[in-house]
Amino acid sequence: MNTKSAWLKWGVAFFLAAFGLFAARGIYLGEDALDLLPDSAVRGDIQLLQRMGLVNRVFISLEIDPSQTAVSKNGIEQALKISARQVGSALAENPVFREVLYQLPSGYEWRLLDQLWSHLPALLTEEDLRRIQSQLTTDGLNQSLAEDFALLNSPAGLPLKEQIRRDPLGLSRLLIKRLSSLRGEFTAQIRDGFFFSQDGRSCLIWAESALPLTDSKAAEQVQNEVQKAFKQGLVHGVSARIIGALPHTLANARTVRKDLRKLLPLATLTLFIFFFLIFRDPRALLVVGVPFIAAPVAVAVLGLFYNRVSAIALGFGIVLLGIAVDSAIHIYLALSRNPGGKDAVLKGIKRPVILSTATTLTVFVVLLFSEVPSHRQMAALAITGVFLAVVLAWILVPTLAIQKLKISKRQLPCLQHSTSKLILWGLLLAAGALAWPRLHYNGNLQTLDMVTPKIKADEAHFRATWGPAGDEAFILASGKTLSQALDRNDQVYEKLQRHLISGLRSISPILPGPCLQAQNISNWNVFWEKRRVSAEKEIDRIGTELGFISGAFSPFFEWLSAKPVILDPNVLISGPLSPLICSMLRLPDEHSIKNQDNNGHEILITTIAPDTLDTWPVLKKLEEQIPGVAVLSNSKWRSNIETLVRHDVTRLSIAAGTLIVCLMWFFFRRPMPVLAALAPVLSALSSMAIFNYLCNKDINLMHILIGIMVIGISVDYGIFVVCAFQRAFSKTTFFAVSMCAVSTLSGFGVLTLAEHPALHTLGATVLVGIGAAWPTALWVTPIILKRNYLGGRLKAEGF
Amino acid sequence: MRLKLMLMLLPLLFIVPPVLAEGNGKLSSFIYDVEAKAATVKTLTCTLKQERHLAIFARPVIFQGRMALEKPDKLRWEFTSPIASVLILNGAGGLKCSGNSEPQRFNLATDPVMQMVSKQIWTWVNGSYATLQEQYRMVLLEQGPCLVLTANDPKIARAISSVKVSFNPDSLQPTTVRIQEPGGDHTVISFSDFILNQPLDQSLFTRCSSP
Repeated sequence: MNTKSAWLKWGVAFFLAAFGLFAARGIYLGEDALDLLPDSAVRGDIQLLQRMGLVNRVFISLEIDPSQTAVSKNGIEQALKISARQVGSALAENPVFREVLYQLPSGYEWRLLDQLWSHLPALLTEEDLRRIQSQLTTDGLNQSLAEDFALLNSPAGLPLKEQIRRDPLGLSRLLIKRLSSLRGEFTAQIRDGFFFSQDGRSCLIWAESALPLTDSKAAEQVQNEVQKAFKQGLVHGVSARIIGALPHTLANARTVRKDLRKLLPLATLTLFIFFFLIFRDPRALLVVGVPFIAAPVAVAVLGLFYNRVSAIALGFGIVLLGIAVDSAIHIYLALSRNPGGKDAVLKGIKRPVILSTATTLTVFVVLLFSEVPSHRQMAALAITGVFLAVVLAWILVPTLAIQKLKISKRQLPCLQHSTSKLILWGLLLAAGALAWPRLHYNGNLQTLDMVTPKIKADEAHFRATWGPAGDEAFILASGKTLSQALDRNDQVYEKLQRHLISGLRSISPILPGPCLQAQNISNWNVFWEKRRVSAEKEIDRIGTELGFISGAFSPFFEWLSAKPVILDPNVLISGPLSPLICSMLRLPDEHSIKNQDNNGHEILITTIAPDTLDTWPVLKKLEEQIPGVAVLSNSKWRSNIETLVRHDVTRLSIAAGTLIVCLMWFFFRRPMPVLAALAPVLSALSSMAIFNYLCNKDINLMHILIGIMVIGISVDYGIFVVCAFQRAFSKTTFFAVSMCAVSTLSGFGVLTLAEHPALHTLGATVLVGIGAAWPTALWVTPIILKRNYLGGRLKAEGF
Repeated sequence: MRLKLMLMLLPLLFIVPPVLAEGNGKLSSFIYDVEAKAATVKTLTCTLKQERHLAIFARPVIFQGRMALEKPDKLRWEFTSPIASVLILNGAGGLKCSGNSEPQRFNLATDPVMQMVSKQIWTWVNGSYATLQEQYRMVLLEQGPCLVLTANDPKIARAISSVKVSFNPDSLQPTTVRIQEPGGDHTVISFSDFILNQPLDQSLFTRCSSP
């Protein structure tokens, strides 16, 4: 090949790469963990949670350092209050946060009781009326009024004088009980409006980030702002723990970055040293780099289809381009170590290269139908990239290859101990077949989550300090109008109550929908119509006996005579508990989010319930029983993802398997070569199944992606070996297969050293899969082909 | 302009402060002494008598009983006649009993009424008059001696017109508290038979029945 032509080819390739880089510069790179979740099962739920502000909520638990033992109880309280006020106000002034709650307004309890008192008839249920009825007996009234008399004369009596005149039966206690429904299993006590733990050594702040906390860039920004607020606001001796999605996103992003910073140079160095030692020619190193020239063009093409590209998909997609390195190595070795002219060698290698590229592309086409958006983006990137990379390798690698004609006897297929090898292989497949049905489809997203010891400790401490002890489920009632959403929320609360589920957090008891309020008022009117006159006489009589003047409780009866009024939701939404109410009720267009669902205009109301084995059957039915209700919970996600992973694994594996077998049949036309080509795939799948069974018996979302990639790579080994036996028997094929396998193993193998569970899984699975496919291609595929080809062929080739 | 203002204010620097200093000085010194005495008290028991003069009562109601206190957060306020009742504050919770009815436990975190009551009681019982100065104007009357407190906050002033606390001149323990409400209602609480810094039976703060 003349030098001018070679330079021209390289010039065109680099121009294409430069053009790709230029075209790809405008692509928005998203670092959102949601891209790793399936569309149908969980993404919608997470978006609902985002709309409710639950995903983007940052909980900050301030606490006195355990070393501060000498500080008095009052000193601790003051230090925490000052810190909470300073940190909370710094966050509230920061535009990165919306809705920061660190202190309820002064006197909120009384303002709230005043506001709700006039609407009491609309809030009290039939059960409450039954309780009031038991108080209206002579004994009941005697007890109530004697308590009032004692209370008035107790230290509590001074501020309660008017309250007791207005409410001699203590009906406001029913209201207070209803307010506890906002607390659920959350164990906080309120002091001067601040949220204190039971032991008084911790104080709570919570804030909603305006930026998505599942996005690592946004999470870094939010973390910086929180740290600034800590620096400004924490007084000496007070420290803070951050709980929520924020520390998880940061830990994942930072660990991946740290792993890649450590492992990429290690993988690259290993590959380069390996290639240099084997080839002893610096140009061989360029062979490995050729496929990656295709990467910028592939990214630019991806940008034509997607406005926003997941950084995770981009990273893994480029790694997947490494598959094309195998073709480049085969071409290089065939050209440099086989006898014959360049054109003849290229003609001989053309068939396996086309066939292996076709199978790889087929596998990625199947991945285009994955439920996970980042998988689809990876597949799109890999399809374009692998195709271009093979074309570039075909054009550019011949410009690097110099024929050396050094072939050692090592490269011959090893056909000794055939029976033993076949038995071993059979045992591997049998073990894989036994392990496969015993694997558990793990839908727990936390298996791919990087949980540092600090996060674990902080979360355990938070649960111990603030509760709840277990998982929580979120039941979202939606409606086109606030009234509709409130009515549905009442139905949710009523059904959960009916099943005696305790620890509920709901606004229903203090803000029922119009239907329930109208019903309550009607019941109230009927109740008092029969009893008002007699109750007034009896209260007056018993009161005077105890020492009250006649008419001491006239304010109560004046209130009872007034027409009950429906509670306008805005009273509570703009009232003293507004931050608490708004954390459970989201009005439309309040906080728009990316990829907002079509129902973004709807009103959402949350009820929080314990998510346990006992409650789950009841929660699960709510979605079917009440229209416009969605239940979001770990149990549901686990179950959905398990179903989805099972479905995706089955669907994609069958599709990939069928297409690959069809392609093999199309190319080889006979069963034995097809089986021989697929032997490395079967070994890879079996060993992966055995490995997962021995580790933790789990299959997760990551295994789908890696499994498909391993199938794509290992089938190539089989194809090259079968082709070598069939027509273009190349003496370098076995050496090339080994080179490809070692390069893949060293590239991915270093990922087993990664701290991040997802990267570790990726590395370990590839190591196991390719680790089994490689010896199978070298030792088992030739044995399967022996009968068909080896008899005459080896002799003909002069071995 | 700033210089002119300073010249105008200069005479005040010589006139007003000595007057304030004299009044404030005695008050501050008295409060300091009361707080210093209170700080030495870790436990306290005393008898008490409360007279309530309320418009909604047909006649003044006189209650008699005992108080027990263990700092920082345990208090028992018990009436023995004419109706037996007990109010116990113990850390973040408490207990109240009246007559023969069942004891009612309460949590200060979830009961805003008792939370407010507890806050008020501790403010007065701890003898932190320096803290009270933020909420009340105080005047020291030599006779007694006694302190007259008037609320700064209009919300408090609507419930309490004034509080007059008389002290034992030697022990500086409060002997009488008179709480005057707008409209004429008033309450007088007298304390006597103080026993200071003696170990207290803990069941005083956990059970309504007397040990």
